[in-house]
Amino acid sequence: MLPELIRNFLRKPNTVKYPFEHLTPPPDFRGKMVWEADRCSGCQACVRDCPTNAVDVARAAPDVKRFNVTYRMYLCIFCGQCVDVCPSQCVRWSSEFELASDQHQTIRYDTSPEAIALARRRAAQKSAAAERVEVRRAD
Amino acid sequence: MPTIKVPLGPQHPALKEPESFKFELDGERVVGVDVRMGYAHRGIEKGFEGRTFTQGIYLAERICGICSHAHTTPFVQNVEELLKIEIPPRARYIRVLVGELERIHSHLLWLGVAGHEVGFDSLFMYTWRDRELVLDMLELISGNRVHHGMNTVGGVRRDVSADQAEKLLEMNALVTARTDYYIKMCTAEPTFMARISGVGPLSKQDALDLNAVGPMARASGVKRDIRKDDPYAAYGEIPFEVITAESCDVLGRAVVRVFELLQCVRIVGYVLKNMPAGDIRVRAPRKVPAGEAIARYEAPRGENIHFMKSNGTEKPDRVKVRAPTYANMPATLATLKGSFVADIPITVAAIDPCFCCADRMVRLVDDRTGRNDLMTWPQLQRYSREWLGRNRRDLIGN
Amino acid sequence: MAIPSLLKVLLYLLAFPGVLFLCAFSTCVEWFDRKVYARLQNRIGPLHTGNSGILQPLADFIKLMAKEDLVPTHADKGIFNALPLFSFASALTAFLMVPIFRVHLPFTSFPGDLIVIIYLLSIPTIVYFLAGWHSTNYFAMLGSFRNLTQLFGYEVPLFLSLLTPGMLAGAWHGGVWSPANWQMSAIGQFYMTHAFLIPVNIIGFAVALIALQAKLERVPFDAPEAETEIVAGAMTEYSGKKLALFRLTVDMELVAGSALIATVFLGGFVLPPVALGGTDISAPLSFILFVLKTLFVVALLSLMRALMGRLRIDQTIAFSWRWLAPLSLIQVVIAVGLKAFVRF
Repeated sequence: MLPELIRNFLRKPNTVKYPFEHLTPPPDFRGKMVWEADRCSGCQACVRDCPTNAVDVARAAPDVKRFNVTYRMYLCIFCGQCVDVCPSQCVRWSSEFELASDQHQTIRYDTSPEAIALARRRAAQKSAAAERVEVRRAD
Repeated sequence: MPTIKVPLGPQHPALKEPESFKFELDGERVVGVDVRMGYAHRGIEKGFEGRTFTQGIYLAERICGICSHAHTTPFVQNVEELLKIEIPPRARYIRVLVGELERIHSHLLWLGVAGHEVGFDSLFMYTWRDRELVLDMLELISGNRVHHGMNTVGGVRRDVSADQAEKLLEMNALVTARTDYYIKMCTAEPTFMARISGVGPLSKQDALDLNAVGPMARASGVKRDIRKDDPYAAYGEIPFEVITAESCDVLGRAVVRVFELLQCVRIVGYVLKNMPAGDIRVRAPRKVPAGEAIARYEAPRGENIHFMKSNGTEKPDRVKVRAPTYANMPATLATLKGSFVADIPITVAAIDPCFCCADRMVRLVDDRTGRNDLMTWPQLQRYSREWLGRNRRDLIGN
Repeated sequence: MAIPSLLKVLLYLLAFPGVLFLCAFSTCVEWFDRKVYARLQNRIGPLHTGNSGILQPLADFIKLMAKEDLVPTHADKGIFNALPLFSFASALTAFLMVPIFRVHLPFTSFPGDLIVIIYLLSIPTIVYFLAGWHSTNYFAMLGSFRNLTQLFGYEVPLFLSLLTPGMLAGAWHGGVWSPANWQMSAIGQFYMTHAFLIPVNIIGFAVALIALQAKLERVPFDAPEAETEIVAGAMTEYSGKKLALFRLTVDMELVAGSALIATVFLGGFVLPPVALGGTDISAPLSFILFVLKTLFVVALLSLMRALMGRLRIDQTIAFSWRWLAPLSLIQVVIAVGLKAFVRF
């Protein structure tokens, strides 16, 4: 034991002086989840599979199929089941782990207005095309 | 000389988790011991019933922090058995990899805690420093140091890439070098051996009668290891030895754990070099047909049993978990009788107690009629008030 | 500039090297001990309070002074509250006897002061026993039993080994055998002038170090205060200001004991007048020597603390009587033999 003690005495201490020194987490580290509501198709698979009900998916506008995601970070256990199960790859891991706060943190990921506008235009085009077909059939 | 009743716990510097022991002491000798468990009961088995199988994996993981993989693996093995699906071989090997890494970090943790219980803080600091290497390995492949979340119904969720495997092999070599040092420490360090040799004896017959599991039983010469007796995951194809010791005391338990460390690093090396290529998961349906299944797993502390009953929906009907510490409790009480007060902490620590694993179900028995019916919440409140009224004098003294 | 001698005496007693100096120095020594212990375990030790953590023991002391002070219901309040003061006083008085400078006051250095300082250092142990006894707590009672049991183990080797260099030092009057006068300054001076005799006492040095570790109740002899077994031993029920005083007493005992060993075995600190450019700088040099030698002994004690695990109380007694006592007897035989057959 004594040689080991002397060897350790002469070595640099193993302590990282956090927060003055930082350790970088490896890639694929389970940090905060980051959502992209623009790609969400509203299948609610993440809501169904989340063990702690930390995710909510709600419609962004009543006329188009675009959704807003509410991510309750204070309930999240960073399991990543939502990442596994989402068919449209809306959610991904980040390396951010310094998330301590004195307030409940909820992040709303809203679909961008451009996406809603695009969806509305597409819906309008589709209904115009459907109308034209109808009118032709009526002839 | 009259005996004195002294409590150890629920709060005590010797116990890392709350448990209430009541010792009857005659000077420095223990003549009787009684245990009262249930301080870490959280209602997890009830929690399983309201959650789907996928959500239940994460609840099972959080039964314990150190042996998290030891609870998810039998859980998903049960579901896979009920669904009658076969997981790909690569998934089985990855399950073994994470399981063995977890065993390494758990045994290193135990060695540190044992050192701390006998006042040997330098050993505690060294083992926990080397344990950081193992936790870094786990973080590399799973993204988290504990609660790895590798298992899913049908396989594992993350793959181990080629450079991750290479880095793991390098770190494994470092851990092997440190393991050799700890083997020397356990077998040659005088003050450590003086404190754990001859302490807490448990004869082979007692170990068999009292159903000790894990290193507690193996240190008394009972060659029982689920990985060899009832192989699961890929253990049937991986060569390793079951370590036993003949000294039947805490030194034997320490030696068993330290030599198991050596076996673990060998298994990790073998798995990393011989992992079969292929998929890591198969798609599993959400609804599980009705049935019952039992899975056993060799957790770092012993045999972990999960029982599952499903009823055709996507939520289980009943899940029962029997953790190894619960099985080792009668054996612990047997080893404590007749020991010194100074040996109590190390004897209790020798089973590697994980009381949060062990406190699973609390049964209410009416002590007048012996029946254990279910109670509603108002009935329970009334029962507890009556009980306190009857036993007030013993507890509070007025 | 003639300072009245009463004022000089008061300054000596209260400021330097009296109460204030000893309190400050013992906190620094505790910091040194903690740093060495941490480095041996590949850690940093105290870091952020003050420059490299030197104010950490002071911060602990202030924190304890501010905490709630509880007395158990059935404990004897008078004795319970007074005991920390007894041990504090005796540790302070013990340190006064250690000769640091050449000029010293008649009540701190006299023939036989070695015996007095050893007895004064035994008082805190008895006080710890009484503290545990009066706490009406089973863990505290167990701790105080172990305290006394350990006292029976290490006291004899400690006395014998500390007295042996004095035995040898009694022969310095011109080669004629003369009775040892057990005055520490004389012993220190003898070994300073006859430095080649220091290795003769090496066995006694080792025994005194181990016995001092047992007196201070540090690992491997901290069965009376085993944290994982009996919570805090005799100190279990003490909190707040009383616990702060007890902890400061332990630190002061560490300083006094290490200074005592350094004086008796390593030649002490008192220097003859050393002139440097017309002024006599022997006083600052003595002080530097005091700091260095005491810290050397403390470093050895810290090494012992990191090296071993705690022994059970029966193992401590067995070790003391099987190894320490015979070794100290061997040291006595060596000293007597040298005095009888060798002249210098």
